[in-house]
Amino acid sequence: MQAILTNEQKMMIDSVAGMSASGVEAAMTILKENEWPEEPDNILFDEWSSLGLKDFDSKSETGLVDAILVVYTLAKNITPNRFTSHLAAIQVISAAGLLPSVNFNGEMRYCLAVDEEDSEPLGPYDACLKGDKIFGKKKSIMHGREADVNVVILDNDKVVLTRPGIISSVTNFDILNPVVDITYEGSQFIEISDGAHAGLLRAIVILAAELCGIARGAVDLAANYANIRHQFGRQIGGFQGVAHQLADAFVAAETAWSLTLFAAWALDTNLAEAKKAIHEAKAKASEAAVFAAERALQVYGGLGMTLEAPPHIFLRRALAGSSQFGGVHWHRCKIAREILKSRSDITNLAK
Amino acid sequence: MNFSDTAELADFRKKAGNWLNHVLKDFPEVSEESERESQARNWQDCLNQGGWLGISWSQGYGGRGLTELHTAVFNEECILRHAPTPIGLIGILLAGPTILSHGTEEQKREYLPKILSGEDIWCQGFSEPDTGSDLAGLQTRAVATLDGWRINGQKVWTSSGHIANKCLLLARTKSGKSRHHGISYFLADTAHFDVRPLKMINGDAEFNEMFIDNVFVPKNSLLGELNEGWVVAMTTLMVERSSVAFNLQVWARQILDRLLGLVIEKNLQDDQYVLDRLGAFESEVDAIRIGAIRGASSLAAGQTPGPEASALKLQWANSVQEISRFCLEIGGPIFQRSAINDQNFWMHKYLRARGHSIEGGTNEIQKSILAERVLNLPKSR
Repeated sequence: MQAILTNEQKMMIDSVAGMSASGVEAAMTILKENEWPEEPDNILFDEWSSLGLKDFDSKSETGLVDAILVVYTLAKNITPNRFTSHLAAIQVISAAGLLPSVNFNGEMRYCLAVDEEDSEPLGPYDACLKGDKIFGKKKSIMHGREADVNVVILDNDKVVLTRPGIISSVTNFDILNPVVDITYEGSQFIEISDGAHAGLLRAIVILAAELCGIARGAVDLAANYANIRHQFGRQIGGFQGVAHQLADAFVAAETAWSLTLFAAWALDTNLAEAKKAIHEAKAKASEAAVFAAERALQVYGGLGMTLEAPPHIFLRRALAGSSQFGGVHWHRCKIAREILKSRSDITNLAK
Repeated sequence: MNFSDTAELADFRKKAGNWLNHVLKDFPEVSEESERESQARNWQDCLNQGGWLGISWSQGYGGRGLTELHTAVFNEECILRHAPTPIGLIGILLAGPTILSHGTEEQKREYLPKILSGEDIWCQGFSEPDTGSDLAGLQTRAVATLDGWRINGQKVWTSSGHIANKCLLLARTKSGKSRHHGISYFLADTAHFDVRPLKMINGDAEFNEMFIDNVFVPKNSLLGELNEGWVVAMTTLMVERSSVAFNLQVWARQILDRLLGLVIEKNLQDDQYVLDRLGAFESEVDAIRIGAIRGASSLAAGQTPGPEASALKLQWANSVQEISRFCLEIGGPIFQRSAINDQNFWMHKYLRARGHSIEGGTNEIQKSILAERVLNLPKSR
């Protein structure tokens, strides 16, 4: 057992933390002036484009644990970036064995098209193939407008790479991850392969890590505020009513982060329990992010209700991420069915 | 990042498992309180003869000179098999490590072997009627005599007090402005303490109150420096939090296993509400295990135990309380057919679990620790 970070990983975290130090301000600028910052995206796409692909790409030195450390650190400061969603899409491509067709020089950007109007995260979907053409409508695709290639998930474990279909704009509560709906009316695919489920599980871990970062970031944000805001002649962080709800949020964030680290490690190690671990990570990270962001808003008091203060940005991202790729309830039921199944397997074996 | 055992630990785990499978045949689960005590005594003998006690203690004091991770692995294997608890648990878990880090050579030689053999049974005399969470406010006094001290005061919530012959005793040796300075830590004999069992709401008499009326302790019973017992006490509390962390997850796992059986027995496998709760519980219990592995790994890597142990303790208390309440919820009124002294499993567990958010530092204390030491918030007391 050596469940600790290596020195290389610590250096990586430091370097990403440096890039995202002004994340909160950048997020506020997007809100006020609708101006998307070029950094740290440029540097991330240039240098980290094949992050987390050790299993699939001989050139990559980094595994999924490394990938989630970067994603977590970016999210802690709510750093606006298109890299995280790109990274999730790349994970699906790698699991489907389609890496050779990917351009890693940072120029090509990918997005992941999964959810539909009434679909469950793992399908069945309405979108389908007719010959070599794709038909159907995928919803809430993060950064879909900027993507050069769409990674579309279909039934029967199929992953399809295609040029963007018809993009319709969507107004979304989460301003840091603009989403679009994309309709495919006979787009031709570039590549097709099996491996959608395996890929989605990797993408879900990326999302869980982002939510963990949001959760911890919201706690730190509110703790800083509780240290400078005074009422009744003292810092409000000195009141247990304030301090203890942040401690609760910290515990939730740590719980989720433990599960997410384990899930990434289990996937990297090809462990049988990886699947259950991923459902656990996503369920808990979703819950923790929303809880922590709500606590942050509460600690900010009236200011938290204004667009001027940052808690609402964390809350927006938390809510959006928690509903994507399966909500809390869906993942919990998956976990429960999994453990009930292994219990009945054991019982049947005993008979 | 690696969550699995090293080859050496895996081998150790296997050997421990084999040995346990062999000896545990003679130790069936017992529910009667009186039977539990004699079984705990026999179990300690068995562990000691097998060389499984004091795993991380140095060989000179009867230990095996291995690491804390080995101890954690052995405890995990024990609890997974529903092994009994050794009678001298508090000595093994708390007194031993505290004496190891603060005791004189003479004290180590005097006390450590007897902890392992079960000749000495220890209890912890920290809490008092007027000082629970606020430990530094303790009122028990030790007045110096020519060859030692005379102690007067009262202790409460003393687990194992009724079977112990030794006590980790905190008493005030000096009054002054600083509450932390002036406390001393004694290794006291309990022969002249007046010990009265307290019955808990589930009928068990796990803990006691102790009245100490002019009891003499000799000079060599002082552990650490005179008036500086607070530092020693902090070691005991830190050891308690970190060594217990690994056991917590397995205790939680045991009750969750029971719940899983209950869900199947009551044919609730397709009830969405039950599935939702089950999924949440499973995640929490797994997270406690992963958190404990992370904590033990940083300890093994030479980092000092941090306040993260408080997060695990909070999580554990919360999970076990929620799970045991949920068992009662799906059990219905039948599960509440229980008298005070009855050993009705579910009611007994539920009532016992209410104490988890109080014992070993209340939830409120743990949250304040996290707020101050992790989140750098001002003191909120």
